[in-house]
Amino acid sequence: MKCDYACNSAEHNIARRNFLGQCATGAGVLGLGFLTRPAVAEQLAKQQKKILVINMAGGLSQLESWDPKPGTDTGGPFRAIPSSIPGVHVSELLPHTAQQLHHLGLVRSVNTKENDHGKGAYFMTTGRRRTPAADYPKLGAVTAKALAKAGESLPGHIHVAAGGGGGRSNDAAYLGPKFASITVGGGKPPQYSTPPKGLTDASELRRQQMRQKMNQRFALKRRTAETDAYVQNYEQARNLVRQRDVFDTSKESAQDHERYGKHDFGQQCLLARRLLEHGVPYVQVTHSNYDTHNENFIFHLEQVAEFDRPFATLVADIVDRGMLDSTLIVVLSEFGRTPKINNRYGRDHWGTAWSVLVGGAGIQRGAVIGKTNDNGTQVTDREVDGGHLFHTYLQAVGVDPTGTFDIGGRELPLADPSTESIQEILA
Amino acid sequence: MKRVQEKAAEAALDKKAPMDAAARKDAKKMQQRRREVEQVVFDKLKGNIKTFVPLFGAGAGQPQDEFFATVDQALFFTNGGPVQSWLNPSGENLTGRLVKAPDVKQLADELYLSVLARRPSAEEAADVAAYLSGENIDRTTAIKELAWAMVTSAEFRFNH
Repeated sequence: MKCDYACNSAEHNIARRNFLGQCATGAGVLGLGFLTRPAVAEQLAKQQKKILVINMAGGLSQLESWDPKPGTDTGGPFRAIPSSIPGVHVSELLPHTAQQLHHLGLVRSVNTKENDHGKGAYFMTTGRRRTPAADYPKLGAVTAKALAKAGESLPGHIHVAAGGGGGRSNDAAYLGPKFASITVGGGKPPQYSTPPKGLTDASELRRQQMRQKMNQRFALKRRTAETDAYVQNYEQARNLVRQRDVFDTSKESAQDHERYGKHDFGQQCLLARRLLEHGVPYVQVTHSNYDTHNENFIFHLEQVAEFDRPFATLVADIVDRGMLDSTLIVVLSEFGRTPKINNRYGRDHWGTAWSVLVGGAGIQRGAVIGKTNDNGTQVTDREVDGGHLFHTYLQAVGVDPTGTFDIGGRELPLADPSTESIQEILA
Repeated sequence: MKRVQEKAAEAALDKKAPMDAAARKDAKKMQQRRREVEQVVFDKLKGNIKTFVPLFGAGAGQPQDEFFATVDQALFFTNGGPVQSWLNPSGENLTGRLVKAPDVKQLADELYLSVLARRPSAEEAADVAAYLSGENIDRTTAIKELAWAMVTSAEFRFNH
């Protein structure tokens, strides 16, 4: 299927009523002062909605993170500590995040019935089960398209990874390569975004103008979604070159580098903050690897500790900068890990009863949805899967998940139409 | 016409292992030499392939026959080292030939025939002439810029 060139208007996908509803709630909470300060209202309305996803690749153990079961046959050696949401405990491996939890929320009743890495990740990032029949765009591509603003120059779908570029995936499916992810990392701008030595600005401008002139002439004779995609990419590349400092974490203060940590994940969180501040609609950071079939506890002790401080710092900064209402924060995996501890002190793949952290934007602060039983082997309340979560993410950033994209004249739903949002967790 | 790389490889091999007249008449030996030339050319250009594959190939295991355009491809063409060095006039390469063109008309013809395999329209030829006579621009720089604009144009990407 081809990407249609006339379909980049996203306005109809933004749930206007939903947005107005949120403004009304805000006015209720803040009192009339909110309405008598139009500048503030205007500023809030203008703030780009965005999504930050931390992907705990390999499968984070829910028992060593968001849904601990200490003192049971499945609980493992770690204790639970109180979080900043009254009555809600998390693993002691998350002391910093525990203090930020009241800004966020938890879904503790995820059952995806999926124990395969690839299929689990697909379900969690597209909101649909993987079938050979069709390929669906990932959350990042849907978000980038739905929240894209006319004239926005930075790419809308950015993955932050240790190595930076390399490899290619088709994660935008029928939405077209414009919304496919670009990968950046190492605090450096994307590959080839620095002009070569000896190319003057005047020279660059002249040759770009010549290219545009030729393309305009060509478009009169032959114009398709493909030629437009190709031509647009050069404009996007030019904008990216102009704004390459957005990707340069060396512009951040030494103090911030210290607060986030100088290891890969700390630096990636710092870059994520920078990108979100510049209005990139979708930023995904991957923390790898939680696939702990052996020595689950030692690995989680290291990995979760490495995650905890930078993530908590990022949440605190998002709150401090007044970005929480516009930023959805999600910590997900492809699945959780088995309550049963295997004979190598490991936990295996487990899609049956696990947790996802979700917060900010349109999510109720401090909401905890769903429950598992005493030793975490079953969901006992409000079972949800990747489809429900996908709808919820979109609705939380003001995009109607029951809406459609017009792709080459076909109305294609943004999210799986057979499922729905988790209403109780939405503000 | 033999390609530049092919000529160079042939010359190098002839110097290393000269063939006498009798050998040149021997079909088997000539075939053997052609294979050697091809190998040398391939080895020399291998590096270029490595640069292009991650940018223009689809993901591993994905179908490789669908068109897609991404920003990293455009960045590579805009700023990538190999592309910039290919634009430098050298010997018989495109800009090398253009620099030596006796007049603007022939330069425009050579440019369009080489890159787009057609002659320029009157309007296009006039654009080339205007470009070359622009203020504060030396001829070689203008030629490099023109060649770049042609190679990154939608026509080059889609008509070939």
